[in-house]
Amino acid sequence: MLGIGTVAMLGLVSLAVVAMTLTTQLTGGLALAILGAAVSVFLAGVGSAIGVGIAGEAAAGVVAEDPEKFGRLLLLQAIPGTQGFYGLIGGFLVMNKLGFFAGAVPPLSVEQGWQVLFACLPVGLAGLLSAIAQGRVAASGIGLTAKRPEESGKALIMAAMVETYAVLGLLATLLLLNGISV
Amino acid sequence: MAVARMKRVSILCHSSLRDNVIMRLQEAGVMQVMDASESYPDLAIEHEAGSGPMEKGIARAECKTDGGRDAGRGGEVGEAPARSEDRRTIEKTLDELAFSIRYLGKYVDERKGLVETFVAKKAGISPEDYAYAVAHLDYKSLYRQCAADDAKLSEIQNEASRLKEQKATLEGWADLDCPVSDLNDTESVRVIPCVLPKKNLPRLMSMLSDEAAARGEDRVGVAEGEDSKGKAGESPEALVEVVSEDDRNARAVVFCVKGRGESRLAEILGECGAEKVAFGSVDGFIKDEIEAIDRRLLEIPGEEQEIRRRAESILPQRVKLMALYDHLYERLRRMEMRGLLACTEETSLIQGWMKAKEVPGLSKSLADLSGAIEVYTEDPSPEDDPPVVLENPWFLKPFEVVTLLYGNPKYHEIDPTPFLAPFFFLFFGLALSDAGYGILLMLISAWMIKKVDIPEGGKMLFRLLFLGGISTVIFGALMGGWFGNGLDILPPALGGVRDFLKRFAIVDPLADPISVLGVSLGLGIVQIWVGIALKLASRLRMGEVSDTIMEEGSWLFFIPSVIVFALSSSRPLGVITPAVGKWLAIAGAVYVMAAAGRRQRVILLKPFSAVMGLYGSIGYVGDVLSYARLLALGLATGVIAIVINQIATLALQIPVVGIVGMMIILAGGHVFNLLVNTLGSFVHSGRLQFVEFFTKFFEGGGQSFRPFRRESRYTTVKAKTEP
Repeated sequence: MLGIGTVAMLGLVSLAVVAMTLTTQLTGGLALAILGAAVSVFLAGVGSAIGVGIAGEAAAGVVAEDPEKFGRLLLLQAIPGTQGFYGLIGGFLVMNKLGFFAGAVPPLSVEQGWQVLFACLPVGLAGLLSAIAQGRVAASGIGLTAKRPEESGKALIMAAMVETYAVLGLLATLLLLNGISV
Repeated sequence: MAVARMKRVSILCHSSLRDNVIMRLQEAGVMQVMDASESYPDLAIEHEAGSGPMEKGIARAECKTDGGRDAGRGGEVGEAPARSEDRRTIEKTLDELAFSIRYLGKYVDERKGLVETFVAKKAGISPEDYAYAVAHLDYKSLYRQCAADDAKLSEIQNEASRLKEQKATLEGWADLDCPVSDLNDTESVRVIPCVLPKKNLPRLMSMLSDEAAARGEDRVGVAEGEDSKGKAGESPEALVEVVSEDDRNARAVVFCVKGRGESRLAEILGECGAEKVAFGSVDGFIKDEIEAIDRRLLEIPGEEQEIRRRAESILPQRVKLMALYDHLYERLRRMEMRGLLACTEETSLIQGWMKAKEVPGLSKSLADLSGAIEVYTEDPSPEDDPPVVLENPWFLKPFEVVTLLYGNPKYHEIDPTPFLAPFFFLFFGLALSDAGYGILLMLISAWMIKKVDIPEGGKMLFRLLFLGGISTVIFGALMGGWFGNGLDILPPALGGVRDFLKRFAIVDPLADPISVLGVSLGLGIVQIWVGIALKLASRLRMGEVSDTIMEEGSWLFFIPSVIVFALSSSRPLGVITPAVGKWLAIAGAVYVMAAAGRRQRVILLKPFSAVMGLYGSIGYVGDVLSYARLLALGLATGVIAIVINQIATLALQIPVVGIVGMMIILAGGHVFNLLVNTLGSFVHSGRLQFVEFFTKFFEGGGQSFRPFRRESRYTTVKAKTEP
């Protein structure tokens, strides 16, 4: 738990520091908005990496004993990976909003930049922490599958219970970004 | 369209027919046998004694009644005596067979495809081979060969590693220019071959020369070879000859005069980290010994090859070993079944559960066997907890996968499958919501069902995914999702197709997520309402009429009334003006409060209970919000698909290989996205059923139906053997 807390704190602190520095140096809000997109992608991505890692360690142990279970375990290992995608979606939505793909990025006020940055926090932070927790549930589910392979569907559902909060984070980010006028 | 009606079946037969009846039951595979001794504890339970002759009894009866009509079981008739023995022998044989199958399995060159990684496949075998294996296979000699080869294999593998180790030890001594036998102690000189860290070598030298100096004579030196005869004293008189040095260690032979400071020498050697080397059985020149080891090491792969060839030569027998295993395993199961019978001196009683509609078939089959068999059936009483089988029409059957993932309903409960099916269908499509992916999912599922040999449970899952694919196409088309924004990046030549497909799109979830959110939450409200209604129905059935009309009925009225109020407050819905809507909602709230207050006995507390009752709406609001995930999941699919398209478009700008790169990125990316999001859509649609829907009316926890039947572990007989 200490590790998770540290990661979360580090994420927040570095975010705040970078944000402060940027705002004092820049007149526009574009950098802030980009920071928002980055935060969304990297926090959720870090969480997924840790979560998939935890589950993968457990799965490898089981496969050593019984290689036939590989398929079922792979599904369980993949489940904490979705947060990384939610983070990517958050980042994409920001880019889409700012018109990166249309080629014309509108001038952004500092206030708008902050708005975008904060709107990105739900998916980033909820993704970070929920992916790690989900990784642990998936690891336990892998233990369950090792003993009773026919029940692996239930392990999947239990892991999905954790994911709810990452989905809600994505939803909040989505609706917040939708509400910001650029 | 519900939980299948079950019957408690009791089969009473003359004891001589017992094994035939068990055999018939196993073939029919329709009855879950229960322990009859529980209902009739005073009746004796048949034990293993005398089971050998009984098994032969089966064989004879088979002859008489069936005339060996079935090739698969024909083997029973001409069975070798060695195979009809007691249970312990069969178990031992099964172990031996499993060992041989596993051993030979190491030599099976089978490249597993993607599908085989996920489902274990059974070996197919023709009825003739099965019969042959059961009747004539000389499994004993096969087993002996496998066991011997397995032992031999591990022996030579051990030998190889031992030799390699030995060689590593000896290699440093290769330069020793005398046979090892010369290193034996002589009458007056002790010879100590030893290994020490190279960096300690000078220290050893200096310590020994110090000792020599202490004696006043310098008798220690490297390779001096002169015989030393000093005075008796504490200091050792020793000579060191270095044989070889490598990066870390030095090997040296220490000679010393016996009985002169030997203990001090041992101390010195210990301090310098020198360890005495034992050459074991080696006698001659080390160089020769190493050569011998090398020669032996060269032979070993050949021997392994030989064992492999032997294994490969009997590999075709492996499937027959499997068949015999399965045959004996089924027999073992029949023997175990005997333990569940209740017996008198002349009769045996088998009890169990089976589907009501399968009773006539079994009764007839047993009546054909002999007139001395009676079949009684009873309906389960309310206290009984019969095993549960779900029965649904073909288009609902796939949704049983979802129900069973949660667990069976109890026997006296309703089967939630028909009620969750439409919701699961809609939710899955809404969560995946890309028409391109829907088509892809349908194609993959159809291919898996038709072309790939997977167990029935797996096929059911793919049927469900096929249906999900249909729903996905519908929602995808409505939201304009064709491989993300695939329509927008179509080449201009296909403009007609684009315009045609775009006509179906009525909402863009990226531009207008609120509408899709509304649809998601709306579906949620409907599902929760249906859940409460089902609870009402089941309580009505149990006769709790007034209670349920208050408790469930109030919410069934209140929830729609609030919706109507919310909708009418912005603009009137027909006759329902905002004022009417308001009063409807107030009436609903009063209804809920009345229901909640009704239970409170203390009159003064009734108002508080009533208000607390309204608090229940918080729970429902939470449940409904949970359905917002459908929007988020749908967007997730679409956005990742758009990202893939964008990266692919970037790849197109690479000169020459751009088009290939784009194709690879598009194919790999979209397949990956489809897999990840199909998993997500399935799991989350399922979760909405379990957590939000089932909690309203469904308890679950029925035991599943496990009929006594033929079960194979390794093989499936290819052609149908039953006439």
